[in-house]
Amino acid sequence: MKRGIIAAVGLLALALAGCQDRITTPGTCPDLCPGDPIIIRDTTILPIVGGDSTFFGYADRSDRLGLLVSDGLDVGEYRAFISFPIVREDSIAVDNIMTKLEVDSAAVTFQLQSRDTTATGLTLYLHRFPLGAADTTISFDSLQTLLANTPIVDSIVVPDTLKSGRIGAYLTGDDIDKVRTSAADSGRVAFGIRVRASKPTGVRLGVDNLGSTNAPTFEFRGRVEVADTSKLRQSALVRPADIATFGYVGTLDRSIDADPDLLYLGGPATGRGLIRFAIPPGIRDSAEIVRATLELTPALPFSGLPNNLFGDSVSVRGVIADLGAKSPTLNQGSLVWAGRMHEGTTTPVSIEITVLAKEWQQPGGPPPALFITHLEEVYGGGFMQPVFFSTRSPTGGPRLRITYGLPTNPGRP
Amino acid sequence: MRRLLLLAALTGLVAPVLEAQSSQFGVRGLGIPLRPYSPRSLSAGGAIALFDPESSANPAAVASIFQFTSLFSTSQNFRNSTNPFGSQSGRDNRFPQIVAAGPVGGTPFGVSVSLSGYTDRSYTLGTVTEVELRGQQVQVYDTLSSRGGLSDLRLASGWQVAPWLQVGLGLHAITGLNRVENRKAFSDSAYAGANERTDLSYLGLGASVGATVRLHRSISLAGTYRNDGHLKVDRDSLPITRIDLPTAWAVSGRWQPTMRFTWAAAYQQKQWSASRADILAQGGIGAENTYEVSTGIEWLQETRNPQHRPIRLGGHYATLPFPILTGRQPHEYGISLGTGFRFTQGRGGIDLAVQQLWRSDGASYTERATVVTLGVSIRP
Repeated sequence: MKRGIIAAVGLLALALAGCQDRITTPGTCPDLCPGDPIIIRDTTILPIVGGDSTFFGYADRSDRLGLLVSDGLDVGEYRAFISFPIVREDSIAVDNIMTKLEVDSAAVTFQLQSRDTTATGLTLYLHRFPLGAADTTISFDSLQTLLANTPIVDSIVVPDTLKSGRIGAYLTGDDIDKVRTSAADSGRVAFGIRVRASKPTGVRLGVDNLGSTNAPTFEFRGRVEVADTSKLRQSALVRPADIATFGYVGTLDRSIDADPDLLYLGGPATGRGLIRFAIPPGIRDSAEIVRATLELTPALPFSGLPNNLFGDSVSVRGVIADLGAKSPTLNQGSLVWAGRMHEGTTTPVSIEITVLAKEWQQPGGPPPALFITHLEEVYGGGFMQPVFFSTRSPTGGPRLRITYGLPTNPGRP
Repeated sequence: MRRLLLLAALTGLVAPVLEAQSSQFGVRGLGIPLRPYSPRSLSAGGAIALFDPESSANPAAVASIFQFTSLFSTSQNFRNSTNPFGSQSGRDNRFPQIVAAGPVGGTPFGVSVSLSGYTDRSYTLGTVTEVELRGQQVQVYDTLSSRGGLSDLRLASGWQVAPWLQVGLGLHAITGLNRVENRKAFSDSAYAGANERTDLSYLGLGASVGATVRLHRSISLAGTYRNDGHLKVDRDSLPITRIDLPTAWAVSGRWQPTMRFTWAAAYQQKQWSASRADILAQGGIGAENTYEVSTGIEWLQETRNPQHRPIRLGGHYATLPFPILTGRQPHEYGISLGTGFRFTQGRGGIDLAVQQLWRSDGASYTERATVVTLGVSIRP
């Protein structure tokens, strides 16, 4: 009896243990298949003629997360300025008690966000600007004149091995006087910034009107007389107070007198290209897209800051609804794609947008339109201002290459 | 009767989980036909199925049931398939036979509800090719897979007309679903995979009649005739075709010279050619008539508890209805062995059948399979 039960349980366990299927058999079609493999086709779809345009003005000064400074780049010259709010150097609060600060050094620091790593001897020069001499309305020529006529406070030599990180000018002794403010300036201080290296180059320095760690800083450092020895060293630190107190000016803005038959991206005016497609119903409704590639042909050689990560990329975003220039974009990270623009060439740019093209097929999905943008738009602008041919150009207009599968209704008897 | 209805409802509920064996010979037509036999009948080669109330072959056999019985069986299939494209070992699991049967108290009738495999169309075929895409050679992996098949839901009643005669009637609902999936993958990750899914659903109604006759104290005969009408086929809820199903008949003889020993032999024929035109119209290869011969013995070790540790042996040969290649009808033969155990005073039981099967189309498509079937029965 017991043996019977044990045997029964054992057999049941054996049966259940084997309940995993592995049923693949080698074969080939059509010899063995009761259905054909999915048919693969490749086609090129051109945008709706005249349905592509450039629109400008997608980012304003408040969106800028970087200061562009350059020297000798083909893409143009850039200079920057910045002013810091009032900072006290005579006293500082330690444990909520104002204590006398014996200043022994001063520092102006920046967050280096990007540079051309092949340019050696990179040096930033800080010029002491009179307060109010530079503001957001200043022209490049005026800023250049200011730089020429104002003294250099210090230079910041950037190590050749440093790709990004904190850099600064540190002043001690009598040099501290170069950044001290007069009573008339109410404790505020302003600087102009230019750059030099062994070859034409540029940098992007972080700014952030929210005052994050990316923001430039100005500080007085010194000693205080307190009992707690861990608090003997103190610094009085400030960051730019608002967006009106920093900025940059360049010599190239392609949005000015832009050719309406071309597509402009990026730049100070933040250009975007809107391209619309008409997907054939046979593909939209019945096919499964396995690859979709947007191909853009540049109208001018790509020119920007060489070896600049993200600075050489064009990105594509789908739109939630086609409302022209004000079309809201799909903002999920997974719906942004980038294609690389090769510096100094007119090599066409290919951008894989398979996921977006599949979205276009969904019932109630986004319209088959997309924005192309310069990837550095997220920083408020970059050096490169790519220009592409449009559907109105004689040749080289955008095109969408789609590889798709057609169903075969397998399962015939 | 309430228990019978309850178990009938339960068997209906478990219908969707029916799965079936996977064989390359199940790729064509409606799949590979399944034998609606209990583990006891399977281990005797199928020869005693027409006398077995736990099998679904002959409605007349239901009349011989004297105690309410429910049976649930599961089988594990280990196989090795060979074809011109290679060899592959595989395994799969199915639940081929679920039965609830019992006598109708105070009457000479027995009633049975069963769910059996009718055909199986579970397979996965993999192929590798190379195509040129955008000027480059790309390897393409195509996989065509199907899950499911046809099931036979039978409601049968048997009548003990006389001590030597039983007759029976069965009503059959043939239902099923094939979930067919076509996949394409690329060696170049720039290409996303393509996927196509189709559900083929089936519905047909059939009827069967049968009889068992005791000619002599030790000799019995059984026969059955079945007509399954036609099968309506929907693709993703859209009717696409109708396939005629076969008529079938079977006869079996049983010899019991002693209480301990039974020998049986059976012959069955199915007119699958009825499906040929409909299958050809759908782009298939066709269908051929089939027959099956089987023989087997059962040796009882305990006559007081006959189903405890019996020894069953059997063998069968059958032709299969759906050729893989035109003009080459495949066939199957097998040998089987089994036993059973009864416990808790015969209220619980386990039956085991081990089959070794060989299938071939006479040329390059061959298959060897070991099928272990386990049946759990309860007689409350």
